[in-house]
Amino acid sequence: MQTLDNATTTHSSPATPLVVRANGLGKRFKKKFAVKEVDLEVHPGDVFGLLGPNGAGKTTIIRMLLGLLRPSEGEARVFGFDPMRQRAEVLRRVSAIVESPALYPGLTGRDNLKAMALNAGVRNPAKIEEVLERMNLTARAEDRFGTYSLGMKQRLCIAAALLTDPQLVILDEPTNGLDPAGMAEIRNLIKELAGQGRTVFLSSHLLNEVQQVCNRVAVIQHGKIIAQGLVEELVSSKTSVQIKVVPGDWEKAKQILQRQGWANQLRAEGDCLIIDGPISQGAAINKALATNGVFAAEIYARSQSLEEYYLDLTGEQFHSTEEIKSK
Amino acid sequence: MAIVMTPANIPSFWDSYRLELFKGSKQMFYKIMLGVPIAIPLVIMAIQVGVKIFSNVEVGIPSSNPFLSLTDLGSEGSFAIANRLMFVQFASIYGFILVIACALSVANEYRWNTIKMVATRQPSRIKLVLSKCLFGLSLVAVSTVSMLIGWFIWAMFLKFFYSVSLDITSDDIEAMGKGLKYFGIITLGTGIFALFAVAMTFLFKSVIGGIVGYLVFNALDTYVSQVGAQFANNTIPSIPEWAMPFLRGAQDMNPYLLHSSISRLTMQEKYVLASRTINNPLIITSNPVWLAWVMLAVYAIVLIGLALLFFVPRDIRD
Repeated sequence: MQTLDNATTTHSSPATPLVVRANGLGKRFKKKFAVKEVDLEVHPGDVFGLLGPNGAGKTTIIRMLLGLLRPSEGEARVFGFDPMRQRAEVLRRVSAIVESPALYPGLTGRDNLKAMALNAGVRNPAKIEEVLERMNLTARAEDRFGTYSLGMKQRLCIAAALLTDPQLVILDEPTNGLDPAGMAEIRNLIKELAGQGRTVFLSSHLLNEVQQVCNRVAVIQHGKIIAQGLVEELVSSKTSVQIKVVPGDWEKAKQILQRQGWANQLRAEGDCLIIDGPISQGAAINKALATNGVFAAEIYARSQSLEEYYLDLTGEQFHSTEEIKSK
Repeated sequence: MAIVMTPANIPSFWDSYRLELFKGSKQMFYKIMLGVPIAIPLVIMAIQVGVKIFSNVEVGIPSSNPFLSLTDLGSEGSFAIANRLMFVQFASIYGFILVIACALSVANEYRWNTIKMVATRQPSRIKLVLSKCLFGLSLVAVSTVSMLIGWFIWAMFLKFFYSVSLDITSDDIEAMGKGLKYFGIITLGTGIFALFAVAMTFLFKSVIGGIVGYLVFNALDTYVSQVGAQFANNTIPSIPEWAMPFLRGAQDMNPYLLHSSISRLTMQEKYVLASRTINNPLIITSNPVWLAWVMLAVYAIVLIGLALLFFVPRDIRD
């Protein structure tokens, strides 16, 4: 089996093609489990989204992957290495931003990067200017970090993360507090990192965002992974048929569909009727409607959004940070 | 096309130490702190110049009886006066500021939430702790140089103030020797207290915790040291029976305490009190001097060990 290291570097590592693997991972604080029985698989080149509401245990998992927290049970491997026992081997391949973007508030952006370069053993000063330029921060490089907006702080932290040449970039809620332009910028950056062959592991409570950038996702709820797989597969696991009829035919169409036994799966959304079920039913539905004098303007298969998938899976509504704060 | 990624260098201890120096050099607090031992004497000298201009200052440097003090810092010449001003009076306050500065170097990582950033780049937590300890000791060392500059300038100024020759006399050399020896030992003590503050701050993750821990330790150590020595020297009048076991305990502990070790190395064995030469009640003269040196080294090693113990195996949650 070819390992990632064999494929991309000259360093040897235990034989595993997985970038991150967690088996039965759990963390207990005092008597309460923050995460429990977590199994994860992140493949090379993935943009992996760890999706869950605030407090679900996303950051705890990230901390265990980085060796900041010692697991109470189970095991984690990053590039085949144990983050607690082989921390150096893990951290030299990984760059991470854990929780809020934090650097030294009294130091300028450039000085913060110099500090982080020293801390990461980076000896090429040109790298600092390179990442400043990459994150569009050159003009504000001499301003103190404490004066930066949240978006700029996030960008500087990402710049610090890119000082090394990480094979895995871990971003914990990278778009938290950013405006739409800032969020789009981070999304583009993530895509760019993935395009360079890096694996990206991000946590988020923003379903839409995860769907836009991630190819693989794990959904965590109350500290447990409740679903995991390719985003494409998860959202297409439940398809529905979407029918567009003119508003005057709505009632008639509903009656016809109820007679056909599809009433339980029927719901209205916008100016469309949605019937949960495989697209193979499309012809039968069309026939039933047409026979009774209702002609659909459009009939097409409709995949679920990740949000719908999550709601179906958990029956819970997602709460954004802002909503939680306002409570 | 995928790019070839090389695993990053593992940062060395030297990298981590340079990071501490770099951060320290960029912070105004540390700059001001290191300038204070020169700035304060300069301010006082400016006042003294005013005094000299507007009033008659007697020619000649006043001398003092060396045995009137628990420590002999010389009796003749401007350096004897500067020894007391800088190494005793100023150093006692400044040492506390140094301890706070060392605690801050750790506490700020938690306050600014940068500890996670640091700990996910430097894989060795041992190097991380040792670099903090070495930074604290470096701060003490640099401030020592600053103190020595302030001390020298002040001593030379006193010659001008008392209208005597600016030449270095034999009395000056004697006082310099005594002062430097005393200050050297006091500096070692400050370094050990700085390590204590670093260890406590790793434990409590806040500067308040670090400082309170230091103050409690300092107060207890001073109290037990002095009580133990006074009990051994029979200078405590009318001891109630119930207190005897505690006082004996304090006496037994005395050779191993930090303050008693520093006192053993810095204080003179006899001094003058009300025209009588008596034994110094704050030291036990039977305690060997070599043991005091050994204890200073033991404290330094134990405190670094405690800092490692408090940080290395612990989860980083904050």
